Amino acid sequence: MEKKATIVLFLMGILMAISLPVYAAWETGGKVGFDSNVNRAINGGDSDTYLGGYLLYSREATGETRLDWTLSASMEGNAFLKNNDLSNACFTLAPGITFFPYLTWSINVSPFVQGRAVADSDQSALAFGAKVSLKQPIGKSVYLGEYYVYTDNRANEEVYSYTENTLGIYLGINWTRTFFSEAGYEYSRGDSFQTLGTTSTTSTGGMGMGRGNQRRYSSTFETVVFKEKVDRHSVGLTAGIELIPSLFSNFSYTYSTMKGDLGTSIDHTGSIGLSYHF
Amino acid sequence: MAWAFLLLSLLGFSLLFQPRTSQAQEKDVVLPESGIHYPGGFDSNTVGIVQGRAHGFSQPPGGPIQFRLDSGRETYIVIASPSWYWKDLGVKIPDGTEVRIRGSKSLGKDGNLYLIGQDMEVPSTGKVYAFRDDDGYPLWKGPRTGAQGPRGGFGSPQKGIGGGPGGMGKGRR
Repeated sequence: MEKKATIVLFLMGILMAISLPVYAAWETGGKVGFDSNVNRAINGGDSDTYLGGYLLYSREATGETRLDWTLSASMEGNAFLKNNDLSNACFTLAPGITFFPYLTWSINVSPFVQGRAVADSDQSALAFGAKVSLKQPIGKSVYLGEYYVYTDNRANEEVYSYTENTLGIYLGINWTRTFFSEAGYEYSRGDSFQTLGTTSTTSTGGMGMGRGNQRRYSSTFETVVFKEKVDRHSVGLTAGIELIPSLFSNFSYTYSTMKGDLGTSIDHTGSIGLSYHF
Repeated sequence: MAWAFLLLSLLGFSLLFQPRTSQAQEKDVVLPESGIHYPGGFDSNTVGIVQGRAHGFSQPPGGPIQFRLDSGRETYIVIASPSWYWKDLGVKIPDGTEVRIRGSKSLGKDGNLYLIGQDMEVPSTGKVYAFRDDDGYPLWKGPRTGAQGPRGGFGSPQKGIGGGPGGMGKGRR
């Protein structure tokens, strides 16, 4: 059922993309990423490196009218080098509306649907949600953005399903015409899986037990995976440069802590990528 | 090896200050009478300041606010901004008002001189109305996020903070 829905959404996205010739653009790219804690372990964690590629179609608000529509459709694939079972492919479709309430301030509301197929099929999922984002310029080259995202992710196995509410804020600076950086903070409250890690010594290790579908043995992580409510705090940095017209390079790093009944897991993620806009 | 690194570093540094002359992009529309690309036809190499009297404010269907600028020696057609942005700026100037326009000059295919407005000063009131930033980026498109403009938005797999549905966390796989 979920596979069929994913295929239908994929086809819808492609059809919508090729039927919208104006104010739209394609972007493709590749990246190398690092994740210090792919198993969300509260005690250590397994790190891994992945290679990713994507194709994105987007239609942005032109600003010619106060109210305009947007569309984003993307396909993405990531191959993990050590934990092959985490390799995944996903498709995201996000139509939206942008409103300019006053001069350069903008608000975008965008529901989305995302289908994700993971080599470890337990984690394959269909997600629905909506994002509300605001942007305001501060002076000539500085801007501020805020966003709220609600996500309902339904995985093949309940332990990987989650709903979450996310709030974020970021500050960006256009240093030159071709170089920018952003720094941000994000808080989210919702479900997540966590593991105890391989050499757990935590005294709270038993708190996730006895919750029916809330835990499951994972052959991918070779340990029991627990699902619980967590608070996640993230801080991140992104920098991008336009190397030549239409060719961009991005670097991003995020530090996250995720605190639940089991304990706190810490994660460092980073990626460097190259994008071509056409 | 060290030389290669140094050369690459210099190349990377020079890219930071790479000049951009024209905003023209494939997603521009071509204005029917003038043949000017809008809003991307702004060329920073042709920017100049013209002072004169403003007449004949109009807004062609689906196009930006336009008006004539008589400088005494020449007459320009000023291409300003979409009407909602013009309204938000609070521009209220009667026909014949003396204004000073900074903008990119261009010769239209209809033989008229055009001025793609960057900002407009009304000397009698001292008010300045900005339509575009220093690089000619249209301010009505919202803040330019990232060096490449407001691109790589929702769901962009390459975008960092606030990019994907889950923002920084990018979901939990």
